[in-house]
Amino acid sequence: MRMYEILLLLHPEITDERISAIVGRMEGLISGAGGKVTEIDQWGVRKLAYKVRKQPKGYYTLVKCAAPTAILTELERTLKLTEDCLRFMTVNLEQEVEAAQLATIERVHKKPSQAPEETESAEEFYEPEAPAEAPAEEPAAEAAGEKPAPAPSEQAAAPSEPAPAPAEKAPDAPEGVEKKEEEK
Amino acid sequence: MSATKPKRHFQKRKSCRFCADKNIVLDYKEIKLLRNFVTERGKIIPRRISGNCAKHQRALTGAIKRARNIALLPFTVQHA
Repeated sequence: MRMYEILLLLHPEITDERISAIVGRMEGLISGAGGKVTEIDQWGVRKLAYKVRKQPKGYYTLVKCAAPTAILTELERTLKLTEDCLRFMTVNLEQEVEAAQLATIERVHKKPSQAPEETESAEEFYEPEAPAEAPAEEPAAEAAGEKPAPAPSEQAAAPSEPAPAPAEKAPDAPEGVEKKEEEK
Repeated sequence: MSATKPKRHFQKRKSCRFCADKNIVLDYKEIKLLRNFVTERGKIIPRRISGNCAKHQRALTGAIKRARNIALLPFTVQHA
């Protein structure tokens, strides 16, 4: 069975239940066909490089799975019909897994430590120098629904960086984009 | 062809960064790495300037294009 990874770009104002519903549906399809979802990594809300369906930000979720090839078309069709899903990208990781080994792979689920909504208010509340202070600030800011905190736990630390700064610059969006490009 | 100015063939003999360090994985999700190979305006830097070997330049281009499609990298950057 091949290993695939699907990166979903969801609407930024999506709720946890809707995300679970989408991922649950995918999992149902994959397991039904004899595959297994091995990892779900929720990156959280990120500023997009360009507006997708008029949205400047989006919620990224990565789903890694071992699945038979036949189910992919069905999976992608389901994602296309999902309103919340703005974009998706399926990549064939060049890895093969024996069906027998599937049970041994454990399912990992990584989340940003708090709810994906309230990104605007949370980030304005917080100082822009997020990544360095994130671990220390975590207990205090968690009540406020802080986003950059997951930098240590998440494998992709990059998403936490752009999140605070662009929200601060939300009023002057084009300049925000420029500045972000420069910073990087 | 004889009337053209002589071209400088060997401007910079840079080695391929990915051949030198085999541990770097070219992933469309690693945009910090990919940004090094993209100009300010978002264009992909040609191989003769970046110094990559053909194989890695192809992989890099593929990764950049994937990242562009999923809005991790811009197609073009408009100067304000």
